[in-house]
Amino acid sequence: MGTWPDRAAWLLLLLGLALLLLPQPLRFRLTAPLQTWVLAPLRALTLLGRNVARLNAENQRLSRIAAELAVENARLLAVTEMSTPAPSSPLELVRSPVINRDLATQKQYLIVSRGSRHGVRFGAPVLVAEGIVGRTVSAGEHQSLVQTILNPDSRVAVANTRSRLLALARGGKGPELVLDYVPTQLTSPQDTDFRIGDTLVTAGLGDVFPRDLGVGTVTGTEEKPAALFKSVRARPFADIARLDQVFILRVPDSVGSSLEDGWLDNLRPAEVAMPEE
Amino acid sequence: MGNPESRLSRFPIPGHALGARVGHWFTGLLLLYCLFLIQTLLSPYGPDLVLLVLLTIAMRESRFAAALLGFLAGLCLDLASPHSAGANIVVYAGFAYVVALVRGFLNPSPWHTLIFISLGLLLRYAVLSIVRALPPGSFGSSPLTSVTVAAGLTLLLALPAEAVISRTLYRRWKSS
Repeated sequence: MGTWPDRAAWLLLLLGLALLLLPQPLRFRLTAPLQTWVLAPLRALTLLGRNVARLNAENQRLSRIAAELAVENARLLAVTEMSTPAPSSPLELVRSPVINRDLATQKQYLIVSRGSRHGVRFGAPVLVAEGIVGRTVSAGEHQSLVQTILNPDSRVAVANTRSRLLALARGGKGPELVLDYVPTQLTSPQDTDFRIGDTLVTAGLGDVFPRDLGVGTVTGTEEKPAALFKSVRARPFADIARLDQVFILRVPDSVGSSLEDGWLDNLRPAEVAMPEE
Repeated sequence: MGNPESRLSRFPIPGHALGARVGHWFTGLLLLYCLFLIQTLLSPYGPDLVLLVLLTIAMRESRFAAALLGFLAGLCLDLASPHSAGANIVVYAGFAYVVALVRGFLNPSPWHTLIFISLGLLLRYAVLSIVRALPPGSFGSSPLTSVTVAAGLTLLLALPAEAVISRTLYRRWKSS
């Protein structure tokens, strides 16, 4: 133990012991400057974690606001056209995380973690800030099944915002919608056609979607000679393949008495029926 | 660090030997620092990774080098819990020094690794309990639970960690 390395090693041990025996305030004062540098990576990691959590919460809050604004925008558009006063909207959006998808395509069905316990009902409209996603086809107590607009069995009445022409949108083979019953130029007046870039919104027909909610944009038309109708393709505004949360519109039980502006008129219980052909 | 003669023979140019030595020390310090950060993040239920690295280094390096690295490792841990500053320095520097001192009298064996680790853990928790700086348990559990879990994980990882650290720092799978 007489060599200098051994003495140096003992000196280090004595330094540690001396630090241990110092009064606590003096210990803190001595270690504080070193603490900042040595623990800097840990502090940075903690700060990063907190920032990520904070940004996630902010993202969810802003997504909800965006969806509420989209719904309110659609409602006010309808109100403006009808020239009636706009009462305040008691509509509620239920934020619903997506917890599962259909295995085959990942786009035709979604399972969300909100159900009847949260006010979700069968046939409720499902949307995001960008546009509609689909409707609920089954509602359990805590979960619901959403049939998206890309499902081949889905039917949504849409209107062209430019020409006000109506069509029926259904899910196509790929990530696009197909519009049926679009008359060709031979049978419809000029300027009432579907053109690439036209915006599609819900027409407010049927008993699921209120008017003027965003649906998609026209991406192509296919005209067959001497045919009465042509095929129109559209891309939905909502990126259904990448959704991790949606908003389910909770329509009040008594639609007629809650809102006087007529925006949800098509969602009232049917009192008359179409004559059978 | 390491056997100077065998290392120097690989480097006919003197500067290269110095560079290799500096690089070796840097790698060792960097490894120690990274494992200290991971140990602090996993505290109080994580294994004592710093102890495992110190044991591997102390089995090969000089007494002074082992004590110095133990001092630096203990200092980092004391900075993370300043109310017990000095305790970890004494434990780790002392542990590394003793291992470097007695290793010459022992043949390398996995049992020695486990015994050294057990003694190191005993020493650490004894000193920390004397200065009342045992890591508190989380989720309502007592410090004894966290100490037991941490010690168990450390012993479980002792042999594989020694092999990996030995390979990383000394390019050998076990101590010679």
